[in-house]
Amino acid sequence: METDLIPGLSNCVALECLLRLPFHAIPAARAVCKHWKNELDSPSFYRIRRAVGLSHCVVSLLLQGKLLPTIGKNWIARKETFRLEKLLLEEIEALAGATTCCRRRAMVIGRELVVMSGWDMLENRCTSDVHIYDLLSGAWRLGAPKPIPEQPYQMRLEKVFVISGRIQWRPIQFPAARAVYKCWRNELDSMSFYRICRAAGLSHCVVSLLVQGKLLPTVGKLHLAIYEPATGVCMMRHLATNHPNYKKGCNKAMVIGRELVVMGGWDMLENHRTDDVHIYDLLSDAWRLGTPKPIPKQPLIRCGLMGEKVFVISGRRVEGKKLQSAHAYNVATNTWIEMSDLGPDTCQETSIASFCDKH
Amino acid sequence: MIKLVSGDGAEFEVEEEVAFQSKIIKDIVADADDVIPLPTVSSKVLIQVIEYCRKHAAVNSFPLSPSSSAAAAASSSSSISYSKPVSDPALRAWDNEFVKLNNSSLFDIVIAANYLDIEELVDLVLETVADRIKGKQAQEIRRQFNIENDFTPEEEEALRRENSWAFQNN
Repeated sequence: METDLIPGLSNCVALECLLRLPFHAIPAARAVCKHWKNELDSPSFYRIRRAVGLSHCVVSLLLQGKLLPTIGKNWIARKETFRLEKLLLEEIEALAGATTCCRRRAMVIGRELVVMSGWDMLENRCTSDVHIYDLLSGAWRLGAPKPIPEQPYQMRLEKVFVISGRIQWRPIQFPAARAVYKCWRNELDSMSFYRICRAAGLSHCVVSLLVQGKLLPTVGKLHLAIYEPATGVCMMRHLATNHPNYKKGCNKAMVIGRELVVMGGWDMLENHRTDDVHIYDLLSDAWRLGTPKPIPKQPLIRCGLMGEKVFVISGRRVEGKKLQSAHAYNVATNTWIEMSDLGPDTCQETSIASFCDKH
Repeated sequence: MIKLVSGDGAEFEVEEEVAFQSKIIKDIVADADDVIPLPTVSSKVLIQVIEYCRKHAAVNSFPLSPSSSAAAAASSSSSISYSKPVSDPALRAWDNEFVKLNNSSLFDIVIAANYLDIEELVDLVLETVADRIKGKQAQEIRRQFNIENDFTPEEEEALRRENSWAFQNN
């Protein structure tokens, strides 16, 4: 017979108590006894947390050491934004196979962190490996590698894959995503770079991709591609032309509700970094300006969605080489909220990815 | 007035709005009489629960006439906000004092509150217990809640390795 979860309490009341634990307290609670570990490892525990609204928003930042003594080590920073209590940094064992990889893409899906491909620094080539890290048990395992290895559109493909994986992580999703990608590619031969947006609609999960043309005849034009996995419908639309001018790889975009929010970027006309926030209304087809980021001239490190807010981690000021600030931008009220400091010990890291999810 | 009878036979007279903090009592009163036996609740615990309900009834100004439509609206809205924080700072301070009890007293209260379906009280106590779990290492949690460690030393060592937080910034 299984022991009581908490002696003196019925198991269902005791479980309600465990459901109220913040995410960062769960690893310690797993080590209390087998019964607690079973409960806390069960997927239904997290489904219930979500369903009753006890899950907290957690922003995670995957960091990779660049300087000694943390070189090649990966860290996860988590900020429980629901209560703004703590920033936790967890050292992850060196990535499986001791390969140090940069330019990885990572996502948190449920309680697992999925790291897609990257650059194998030992063999100096692209890898198509998928590494999955269990945030609670702290173990790495290998996922099925990407079916098309080492191809020129690696970066773009893997983003599509990551997105499709985000909705439902199954190897079976790969062919579907590839088909979508081809469909998109055929439609826009000159597509040059992608900015990724994830639109979490109320009823359907929608994957959006912001595409900017680089070659003639679509140079400078912005398209938004939308893929709805539930229906398999893939659409592409042209955005109004008076859009901000951006250089490759500098801006971040998100879809929130019916609006597309583009953060920061590089102004190609004046050749400097901009802190502007541009908001595009997908229904009325109009661009408008949002409040710019309060601390100017910081490179944006990562952006993530957090409910209705955009969470922005920026920094690495030249002198300090430090991840500097974390802000949340509320689209509805057009205001910025400053989050508590990221702490001094993150300065030696270079960030790989960030992700927001409810746990 | 409603008469509550504890498991050890003691009788407590309370006002309707105090007793109606408990959804169960509200339902019983709606279709039965005004003397309610609570065989599983001891006097000691019932006194504490009534104290809580009296305080919260005064602050919440619960609807006095439980017409069926108002009751339905109240119960549906409270089921949506599963854990609503108590907004009044004075009441929150009072709550914080109220839960300064040892674990077994707290458990008695939460069992009674769960039985009587007093959602805010269940919430308050479970939050308190969760607060006593978080930020502690497994060994402390076991000691505090009298939980037997059924891991083998090897399993425990493996768990410790997995869960080593390298850095904690308070």
